[in-house]
Amino acid sequence: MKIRIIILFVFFGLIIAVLGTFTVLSILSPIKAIKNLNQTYYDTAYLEDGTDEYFILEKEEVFLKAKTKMLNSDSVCLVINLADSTVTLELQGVMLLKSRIDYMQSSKIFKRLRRSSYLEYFSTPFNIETDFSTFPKEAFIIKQAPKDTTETAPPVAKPDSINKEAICFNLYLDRNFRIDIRQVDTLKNEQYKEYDKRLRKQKISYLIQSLLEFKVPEYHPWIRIDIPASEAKSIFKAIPYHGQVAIKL
Amino acid sequence: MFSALTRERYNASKEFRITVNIVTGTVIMIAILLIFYAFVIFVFPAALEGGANLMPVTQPESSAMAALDSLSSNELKEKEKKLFSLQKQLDKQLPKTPYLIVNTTQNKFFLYSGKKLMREGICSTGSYTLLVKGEEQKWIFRTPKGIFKIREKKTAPVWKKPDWAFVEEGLPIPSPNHPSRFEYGTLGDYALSLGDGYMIHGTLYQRFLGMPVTHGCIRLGDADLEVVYKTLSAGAKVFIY
Repeated sequence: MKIRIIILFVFFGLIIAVLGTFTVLSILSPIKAIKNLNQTYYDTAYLEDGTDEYFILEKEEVFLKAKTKMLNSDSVCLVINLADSTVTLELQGVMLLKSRIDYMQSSKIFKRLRRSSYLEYFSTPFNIETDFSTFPKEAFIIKQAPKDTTETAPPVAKPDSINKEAICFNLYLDRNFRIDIRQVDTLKNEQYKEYDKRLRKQKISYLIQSLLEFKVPEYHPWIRIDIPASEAKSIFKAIPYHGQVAIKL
Repeated sequence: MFSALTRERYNASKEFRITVNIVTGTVIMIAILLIFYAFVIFVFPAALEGGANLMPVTQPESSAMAALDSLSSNELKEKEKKLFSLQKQLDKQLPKTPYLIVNTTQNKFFLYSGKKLMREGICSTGSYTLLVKGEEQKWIFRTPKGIFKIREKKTAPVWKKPDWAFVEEGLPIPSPNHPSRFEYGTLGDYALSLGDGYMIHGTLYQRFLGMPVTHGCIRLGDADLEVVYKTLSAGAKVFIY
């Protein structure tokens, strides 16, 4: 009996130790990310002791510079300005669509970056690497040509399905950045649940994989934005597969 | 007799112990799994996000506009100048003449002059239909995206029906200049050519405005088309997204 109790204690002790280690590794992840970003993007010539006002202007300058760099692209670019709560679509400096952000949230690590690291990190536009969404970017209807006039169907208009869809999409950018855009008051339907599940699954499987290897999991900075459904849909359909994104926090 | 009874009791108590052990083991395993699940679902992600809180905050929260009020030093003025010139560089990109923006997802158009919105309304754009005839002939009906220029302006345009218009109706394809190819009044009073056969024109199907039903062209309502035609000059930019 005593041996059993000892075995149980050891077993639980081991489990608690493993879970504790995993928790510590998880906590270390954003700290490591901050340190990495501060090392990678640190500019030694930059004076970190400037006033807050000056830094805010510097952030604006970096943002405008990133937008200027996007002028060379002949594709639609996404511009996210969290300071102004706006998301815009731009094409060679012309604003095509402006959407007001209803809700936003971002990684806490950005407020913990050195100023020079922030400025360097956001100084160039991000590139979209992959994406996924609750709706298709381009959905074609395949129609077989009629053999003769008797088979010809009259023109039919597709009703807009936006009211039935949950409009959400994720953009995975270079420099480990992730953008999660969702419609305001998202319909919590199957599509939405599937989307949320996929996001969580990705995060957890990545986390477990890193933890099983006893590595500190790599932290991916993110922002979450809620905008009206029709605008979110227009944005996702308009931006090209490997489009550019300028961000100001 | 006595020995058999004892054995029976012994066996029963052994079975009972085995059952208890199985139940206890199962409960422990479920408890462990639940603990793991709770950690994986809640604790690790929370730890992942919360870890950043252990580092000091280095960046200000104040808004740009509030900060601008308190600027005074030369350095700040220099920075302001720089921002102004960057903004000017971006503003220079705006077309000098009126231009049109078309949203193919919402089927809406916006007519601008500089930053001023002159008119907005509904339109119809490509239906995203793939018309297939046999194994080799395919046509995709989508409105192209990007920057275009008005190449030609026409009044009372005549539509020269392309091959797909006949294929779609189940008709044989006539010769290139056959009279059946020419249709009058279908495109409305005006047409603005964007090149490659794509046009901004009117429609007989006014009830479909605001819906994706075209073969790639942009259809406008009569009144909107007239304003667009009169406002946009040849060479004016059309932004389609």
